[in-house]
Amino acid sequence: MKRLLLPALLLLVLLAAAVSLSVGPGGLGPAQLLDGLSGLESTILWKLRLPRVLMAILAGSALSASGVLMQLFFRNPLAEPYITGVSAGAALGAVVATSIGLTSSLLIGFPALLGAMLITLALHATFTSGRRDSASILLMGIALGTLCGALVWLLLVSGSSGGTEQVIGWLLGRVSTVGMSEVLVMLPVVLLGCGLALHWRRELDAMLLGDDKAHSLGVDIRSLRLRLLAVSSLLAGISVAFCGVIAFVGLMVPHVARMYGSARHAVLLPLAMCGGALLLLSVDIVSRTAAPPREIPLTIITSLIGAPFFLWVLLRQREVRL
Amino acid sequence: MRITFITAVWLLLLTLSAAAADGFVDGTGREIAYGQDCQRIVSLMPNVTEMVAFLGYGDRLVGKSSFCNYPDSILAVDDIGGQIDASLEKIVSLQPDIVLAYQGNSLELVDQLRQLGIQVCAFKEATTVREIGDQLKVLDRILPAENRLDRDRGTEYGGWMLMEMMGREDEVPLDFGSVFFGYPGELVYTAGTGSFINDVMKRCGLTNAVDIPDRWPAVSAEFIIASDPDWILTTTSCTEAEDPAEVRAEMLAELRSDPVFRELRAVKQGQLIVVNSDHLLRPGPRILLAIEEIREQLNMPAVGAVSNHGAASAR
Repeated sequence: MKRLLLPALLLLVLLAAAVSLSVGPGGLGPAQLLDGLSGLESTILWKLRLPRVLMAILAGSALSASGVLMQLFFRNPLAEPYITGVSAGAALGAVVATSIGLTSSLLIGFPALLGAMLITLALHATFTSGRRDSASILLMGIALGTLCGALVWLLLVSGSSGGTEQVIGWLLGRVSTVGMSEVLVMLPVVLLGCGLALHWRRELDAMLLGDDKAHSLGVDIRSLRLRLLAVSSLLAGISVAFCGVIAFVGLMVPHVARMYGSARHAVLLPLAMCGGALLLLSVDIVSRTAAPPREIPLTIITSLIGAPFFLWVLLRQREVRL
Repeated sequence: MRITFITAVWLLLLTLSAAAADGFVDGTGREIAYGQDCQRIVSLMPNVTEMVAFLGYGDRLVGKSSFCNYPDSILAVDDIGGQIDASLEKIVSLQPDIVLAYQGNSLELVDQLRQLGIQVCAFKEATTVREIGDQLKVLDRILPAENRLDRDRGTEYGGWMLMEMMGREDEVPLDFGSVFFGYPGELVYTAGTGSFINDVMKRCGLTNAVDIPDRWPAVSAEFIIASDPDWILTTTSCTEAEDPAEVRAEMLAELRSDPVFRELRAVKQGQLIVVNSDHLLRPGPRILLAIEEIREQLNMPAVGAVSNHGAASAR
């Protein structure tokens, strides 16, 4: 039964992508898709909906894979990009970018990625300075995230951010984009990050046994931790950079993948990536169709689904394990 | 070397001024050509929708924001969403000749529309009533093939705006004292001296009690108490249709029972001005109705022709 889980999830991702391509306020439905497209319909399909579907798949996969790696790094089931301050670092980078007049999401993406990476470096510096317990590093992440959040709101309320509505829209998460340029920037980064994580699957499995046992199995724990932190932040940073802050995906999906799949990373990582893609595709469909033509920001929906679901998981299990 | 630089700057300025003569440089630095004869217009802000309708091009609107509720003739126009949840796909599907945006709309949305080859004119928020008039004039030069306001300058239609918006700011004969904009509370977003409401106050013989150059600063209850304004200027609800006179009576009763704000001079003397929120908060043609409402409550002489021309916005 568990063997069928991944193919079933892949099938569901394809189905959700097909639904996502055929719904929206532009009046382009399945009938038009089959009958042939006019110039306008072609623009809507290829320049708006397809990039959006691909962004949802990439961001969902990246956030979930990042969640798996962060939870392992911090040895804490609560760790995810939002809690460790990586998302807040990216948000600060984006708000600073808008305050200097940048408006293109492609241009805002890079300062956002820089913000995520700076938080990662600070976390790593804490680790190398001797405070190696995961609780200290997690608390450091929470403190840095709070600091970045305060600076974001300071820029917003002082009116220095330039485009308050743009920043608020971004802080609430969205995958709407125009054309493939952002997808083409995000794709290799997500492929590289997920590919590396899968390549390290045996080392990651060994790390589950504890540092000492992993070390006795020949794993260079120090190097692995550094690699884990770099890749998980890269994945979270790139998705926050282009899609804004999307809560709960990196926290929720890895737990569900462990519950119904396996803790082995060869199985867990692909399951989490597919699950994240499916979740974000579904959430984006709801976002566009619940109150058209308005688009409900993604974080509102992921939090509405994610928070009760997570509480249910917590109550159902006596102990949450990695 | 220096002469070459000055010459280059001079040539650049000359080029820019020549370019601006045939068009308008919008709030994002884009030049928008005049005389476009736009037949399909999407407006992303209620004040812009009101400007378009006032100028007589309401029938060319094919899309409007969820908050656009005036005039009645545009209510059936397709909705494209609000400020942070506007649908890019919906706007694109309406195939507009031009999308009109205002400060407060997402710059990312403006950028995305431009990437798709859709022309967007994005206005900065006006800081005076005169600037609202300037924006009306700019729209009148962009949207039609031939502008009307300049042509009709001597007529009642063109003359109204020029007289009321462009000519009256230094003609206020009376001084009614200081005024605070907003309903007193623990933390209030009010109008600073950089906002168009500050200019509305000046045109009514009032001085802004908030001497902060920002557009919409937040101030504390302590600040309000310390400034002790002669008047309080506030609005009806933005979401429900309310009678300003009833709201005024309710608010005054509430403030008089408040242990802190009942000490304010304005509350003690019952000097509370309540105007229609859509008139005062939208930098569009109906700002003149807000001015008239304030003047009326200050017992100033009525401006006269404003109400008739407010109705003209339904054209």
